[in-house]
Amino acid sequence: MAVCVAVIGKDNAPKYVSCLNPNMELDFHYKVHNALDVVEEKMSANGKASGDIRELYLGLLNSTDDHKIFGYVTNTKIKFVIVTESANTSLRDNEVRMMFRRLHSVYADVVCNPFYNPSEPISSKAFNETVRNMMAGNL
Amino acid sequence: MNYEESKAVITYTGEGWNANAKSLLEAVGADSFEWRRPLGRGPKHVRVEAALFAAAEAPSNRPMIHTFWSACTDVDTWRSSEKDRVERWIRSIAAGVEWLVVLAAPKVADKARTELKQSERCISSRDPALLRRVRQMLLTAISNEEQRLGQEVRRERERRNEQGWSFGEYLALQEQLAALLGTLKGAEDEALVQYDELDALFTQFVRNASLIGKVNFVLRNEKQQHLNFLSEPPPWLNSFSAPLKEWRGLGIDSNARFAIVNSDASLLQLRVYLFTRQLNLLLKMNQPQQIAERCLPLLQICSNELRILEVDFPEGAASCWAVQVSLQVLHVCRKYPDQVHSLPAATLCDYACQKLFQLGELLGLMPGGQGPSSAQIDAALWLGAGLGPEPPFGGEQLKEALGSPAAFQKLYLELAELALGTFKHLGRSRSARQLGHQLANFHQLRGDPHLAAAYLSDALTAVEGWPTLEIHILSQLAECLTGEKLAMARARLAASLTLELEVRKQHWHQLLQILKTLDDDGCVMPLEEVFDLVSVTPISGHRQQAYVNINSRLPEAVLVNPSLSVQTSLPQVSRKESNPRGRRLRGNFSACLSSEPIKIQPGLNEFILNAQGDLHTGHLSQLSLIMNDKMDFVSAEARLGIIEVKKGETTISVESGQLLARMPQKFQLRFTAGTDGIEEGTEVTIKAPRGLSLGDGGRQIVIELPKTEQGQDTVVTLEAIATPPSAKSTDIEYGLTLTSSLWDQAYPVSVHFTVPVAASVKLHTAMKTKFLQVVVSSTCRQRLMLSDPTLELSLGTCTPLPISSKPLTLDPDRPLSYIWQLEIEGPIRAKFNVNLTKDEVNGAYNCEFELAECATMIFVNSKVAAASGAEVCRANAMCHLHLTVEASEAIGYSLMYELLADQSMWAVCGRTAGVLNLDQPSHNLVLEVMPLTSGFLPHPQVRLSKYIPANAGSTHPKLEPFGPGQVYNKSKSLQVHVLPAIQSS
Repeated sequence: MAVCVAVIGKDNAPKYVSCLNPNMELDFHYKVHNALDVVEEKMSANGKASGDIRELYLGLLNSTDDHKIFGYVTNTKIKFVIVTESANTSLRDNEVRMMFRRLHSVYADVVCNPFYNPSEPISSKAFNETVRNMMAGNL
Repeated sequence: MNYEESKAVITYTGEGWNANAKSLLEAVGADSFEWRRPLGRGPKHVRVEAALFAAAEAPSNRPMIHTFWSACTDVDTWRSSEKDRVERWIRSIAAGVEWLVVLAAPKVADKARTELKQSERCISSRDPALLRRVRQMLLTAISNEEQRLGQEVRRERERRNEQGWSFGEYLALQEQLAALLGTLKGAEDEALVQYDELDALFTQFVRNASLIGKVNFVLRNEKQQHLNFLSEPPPWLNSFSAPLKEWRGLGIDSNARFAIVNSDASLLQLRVYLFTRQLNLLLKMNQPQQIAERCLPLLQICSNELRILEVDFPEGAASCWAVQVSLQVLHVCRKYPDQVHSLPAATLCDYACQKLFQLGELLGLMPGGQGPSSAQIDAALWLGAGLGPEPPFGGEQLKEALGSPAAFQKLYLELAELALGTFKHLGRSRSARQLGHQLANFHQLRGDPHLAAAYLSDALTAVEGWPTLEIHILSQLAECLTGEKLAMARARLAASLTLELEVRKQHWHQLLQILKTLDDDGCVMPLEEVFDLVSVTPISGHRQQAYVNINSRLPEAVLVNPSLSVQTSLPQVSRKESNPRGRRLRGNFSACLSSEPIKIQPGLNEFILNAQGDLHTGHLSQLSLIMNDKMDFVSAEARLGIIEVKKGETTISVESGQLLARMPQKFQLRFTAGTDGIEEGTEVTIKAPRGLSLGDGGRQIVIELPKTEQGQDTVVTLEAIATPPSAKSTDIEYGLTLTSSLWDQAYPVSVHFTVPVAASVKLHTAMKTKFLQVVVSSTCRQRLMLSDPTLELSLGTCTPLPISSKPLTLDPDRPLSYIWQLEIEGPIRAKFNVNLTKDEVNGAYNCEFELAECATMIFVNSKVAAASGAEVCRANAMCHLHLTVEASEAIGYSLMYELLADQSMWAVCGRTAGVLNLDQPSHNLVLEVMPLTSGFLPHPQVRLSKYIPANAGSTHPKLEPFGPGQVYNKSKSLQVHVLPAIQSS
């Protein structure tokens, strides 16, 4: 399952980053940040092609020896990034999509909160709980 | 398996075979030919090359066609001997194999066609269709072979989970198919598919093995004996788990293939073998762009598979192998100029850099260290040996690099710069800067902090908005900097809230140390990096001020010299252009607001800045906080607010609380000196209007002002009593007029007074006796003391009713009353006086009333009684109202009476009004009324008025009301007890 989940705002600054292993936080921040290059590339490529605009899933962004990094971008240019372990060979593409869809739905809940200022980092307990579950593998 | 060895074969026999025939056949592969294939696969244009063999020497097991070359040129010879030979030859050919008889002369060919009944297989060597015929036959042969092999491969693949199946043998089989397809020019992609299938099949096996391992592990742990364990991975996979002895790069090695087929190869051998095959095919297909693209996943998969299969290898061997393969692939890419700068190549380069970095650290090859230890040199030799003898694709650099730190560093920099350049070129700025970040580490080790700082600064710009990364890079950057840049980095770190307080304090103390070493120029730093400018509130006027609110993120208090520049003219446009990017410039502070040094505490701070010396009008532009005379925190140039100078005259403002009229009151006049200040002893004449007396009672006083500087204040206290003319209004404004040399014209000032109390009177009557009640209420919302009330009458006498002679307290909302009994006749004037005391200041209040004629003249008495016979009044039963009107003395006019009854309670049944002639002192009347409801009903009222009959002056009679107190109603407020009506049965 996911080892790191990140939400990145329109301005490419992080709104939420959570890692399964807190000691690797810096490493994951770098990985997620680096993947934004590919997100931007894919977004501009999608913009040009007159394909299905509703397809928000960007697929695999990057992979390293240990990790695979997947991306998803909402219509409002909020990016979700999920990092999984390369060793986890049983993880299917569809499951990653499911995680993103789930993440999108809880993110929408966060934004619907009238007390949430969209320019602030996400500190919602419910959101955090869902992400924790995602990382623990009980989606 | 060699492609040369799998080329299709053309055998030749017969006397007709000669050099001409050979060159003819060799042209078979010169042209492409449409290959129609079964199973719905699309046609392909391919070129077929074939190897020529004499019939006796031809190898078996290859797609083959046989040719017979006849030298016979005349029909007779054909008939006598050649035909028999050909027929014998044809019979010797196995079924299903293609053959062709080539005849030297066309006429013999015609003869042969008819006699042998094989029109397609007999052809003249001069026939232009010969080549086409040969190609077609070759293709048919190859197609047949392909189908046969394809079926075999599929069958074998189905058996892959059976006992005794071996990947090596399967590989050998599928390779035959691949090799066969590889001989067809134009069908290399089909060959590549075979290798891709092998690749995928192997990957799947390893994946399954890892899953099986995991599941069985869980089952074993949970003691789930009743569940079947998954079958163990196939035994042939075990050979790939064997410890690595060598880690050669790409290249075809016949030993390796032998080992693979015999299930004796290492994982890397297999992977390298497959990838080399794929690489060769890609090169043949002229698709070099796929090589780098396929390489990185291969390296990552291998790294994973080594882990899954728990392969043992010397530390660094896997990295060594990955670098070697990367170098080889990059070497191949270099032959294609557009490929070496492609994204996959750059990513591969980046990957190789990481691995090389790890190797460098492992083997002590990184710069700046002691150099490799003897153990590390041994390890490097061992790793180098594992790369095998001369690699075929280049890549000798790695062996060299493992041997010497200098060569290693050269290689590392070369790779890193290639990747960095490509990333930048392709717009992957973050990847480029992250690589730059690693390069910075390298350069720092090399002892080049300058270059490291440049890379780190660049990396820092990429991570804007990522506090964790910013702090990480900044902390590293701080290690590479000196002087003012170091000071700025330390300040930023000290102000980063994501760091722990202790760490921030350390940075802060280091900053203080650095500042001591800075030269006097100090450094200028953007204010926002350390402080948040919350608000700036300018106060214009004689005393220019600005209230500044800032939030300090520093961990400790800091003493700073604040100043706020005032931009008096429009900024020059040229300044912005000359401002280097990211550098904060200190603007023009020649006009500014400032203050003494102030201590800024962590968190919110407010301080006031004052104009020193000359005043200026303009925009507040930049805030500067100078710390230790060295570090200048300057905010960005902005329009923080407008500040103006109000040049001119001395102004006056009145300062007072609520001023009460009729009592001596004090108030202040505040003289704020204008631009010219106030001279010592300047006289000011103050004139008061009527109703206001100043000081000792006059309406004009003269005061002298002390010397007052520009913008400073002088306060003068005045005493005044206001005596408003009437008590009508409670709030009175008095206009003071000030004249002095300070102003060209009289200076008007207005003062407001409030009348403290208001009084009203009420007349009360008891038969003939009269009482006067004076009600005093507060109008100023303040508590006052009232004492010594007196009432003066113009005529007659009055006696105060005995109430306490002590002063009474008058509270707002609680009026006081005084009562006098009057002995008066006719209209009079009354004057009420009372003394007021407020905060030991005494005053007096008086007011006058006029009282009209009020002596009682008429008494009225009315009574409701039951009608005759009944004892009590009942609802809906007729009652009598007995009205008695008496005059105290004879009056000279008639009276009009009117019965005013509430119509919901009383019904007046007879007359409601009438005129009485008061020629006798008393009148008795009986009127009929009927109560409508039961209960205690108020008495019907009787109103009396003077009746003036019509006379010559007016055609209608006139009614005049009586004055207050002239008619005394004895039965006022009486009630009548009415019982409910009797219910008639």
